[in-house]
Amino acid sequence: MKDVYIFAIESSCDETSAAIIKNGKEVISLSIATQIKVHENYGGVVPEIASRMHTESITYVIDDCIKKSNMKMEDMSAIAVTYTPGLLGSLLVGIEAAKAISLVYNKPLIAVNHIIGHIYANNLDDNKIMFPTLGLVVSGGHTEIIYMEKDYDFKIIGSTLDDAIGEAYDKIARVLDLKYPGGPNIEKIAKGGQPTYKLPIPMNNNSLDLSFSGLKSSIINLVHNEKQRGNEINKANLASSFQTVAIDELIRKLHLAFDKYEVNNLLVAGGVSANNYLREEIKKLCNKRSINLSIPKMIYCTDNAAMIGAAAYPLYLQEKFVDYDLNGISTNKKYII
Amino acid sequence: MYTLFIDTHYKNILIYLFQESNLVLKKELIDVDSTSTRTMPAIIDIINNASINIKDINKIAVCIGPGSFTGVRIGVTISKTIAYLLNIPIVTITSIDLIGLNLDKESYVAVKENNGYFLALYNKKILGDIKYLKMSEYEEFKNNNKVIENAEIDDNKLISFINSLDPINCHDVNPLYIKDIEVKK
Repeated sequence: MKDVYIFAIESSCDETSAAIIKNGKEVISLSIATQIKVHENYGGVVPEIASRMHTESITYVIDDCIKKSNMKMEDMSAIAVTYTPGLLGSLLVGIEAAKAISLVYNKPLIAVNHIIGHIYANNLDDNKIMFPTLGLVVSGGHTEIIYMEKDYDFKIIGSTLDDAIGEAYDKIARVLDLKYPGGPNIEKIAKGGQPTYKLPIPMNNNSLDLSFSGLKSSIINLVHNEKQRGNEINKANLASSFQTVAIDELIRKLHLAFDKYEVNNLLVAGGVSANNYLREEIKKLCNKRSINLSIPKMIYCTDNAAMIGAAAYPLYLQEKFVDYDLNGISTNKKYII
Repeated sequence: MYTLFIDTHYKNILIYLFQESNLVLKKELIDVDSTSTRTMPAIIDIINNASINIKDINKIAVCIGPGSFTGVRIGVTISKTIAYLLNIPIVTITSIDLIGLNLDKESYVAVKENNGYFLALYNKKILGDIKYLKMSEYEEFKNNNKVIENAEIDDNKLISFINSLDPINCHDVNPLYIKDIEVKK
């Protein structure tokens, strides 16, 4: 079969990215312009600033990606773009640029779900999704355990009933006066601490669902009470305590999921999969149960267009192309399609 | 020499295709509910109806606002990407020009936005700065000054105005926001 080259664009949040992916796997070229330093000043992503910066960088990023590849846009088989979920104004910059490329070079256009992109980051480089597989999707907006029998077949078997784990990380970071992005900064200070604080274990039952809002509230209350008593909070210890409880709970639920489903594969997806404590604990679980584990390389864990190109590949093979009236959709909690 | 002009600064979408000083085709969509779903199909309609290929376009002109932030970004993103890919010159025009260039004498020109108006003094070009006035401020200004909010576009004047503009680097084409972002204030 002829090689398939997909030019992919991602602009759903605070990263403008373009990539060229060969056969859904090989990263020929990847460019990412990050805005983290700017949003850091505001303690979180400011949507209008993000949209403006995407508009400023989009052609530079496309140019950089194509120049690094030693290929031409003519060589591409299709153009792929993230259309959901994300910040609407930001998504639209990538979408309109992708439409323009598709028009100029007469290439089919493929619309990709950002979360599915994170899942397919597990097909990049040396990784490969082996079916059937369980998956752990952990990001700022998602915390789900999924079951996949084949490509683009997603069955959610467990999910958070309230906050996503990344959201809990960000909120706890704010309570501890840590800078944006909260998750990585909690992990950083937790390394210097011990899990000394007693915190409630969330959803201590045998369902596969998760909950993080109770844990979050108890930390907010704890910090508040200690402050009122004039006691100093040991931030490193509290961060370590939170992280231990939250991630141990994820691991416990994964064990339950593997008890219920006779599956030998696990993939991990989403921004929180960059968390080293999570990566280590998942590795232990997989060693213990002899499960094949796939976690994307660090660079493919955070937002990037390579994963969008990987997720577009099965859609390309099925000729699932979209028209030029493609719109962005900001929220899309359910990605079962 | 084909020039494609794209304006998506507010609720109307305006696409012109012209050759030197002659209008080939134009398309105006009034009060569209979704700029993102309608703009690219409108461009393709124009190209198809003119029986040309997008690669026959030699120059892009785009309205950079001020207006709706998202609306302007859609036209600007499409325009700068096409100009970059085809490696053709791109020129920019403001939403104030779109009204002002049709006027014969010096006037205040105002462009509507959801919660107010963008205002500038105009005589063949923008004189001084474009200001943003909230609805109440604008109403007060209008009580004391004559302001033009609408003008039927004279196609020939628009085309010759665009033809008089110097191209800029496609990477540097960005919306003219005028209004600052809330958190920055």
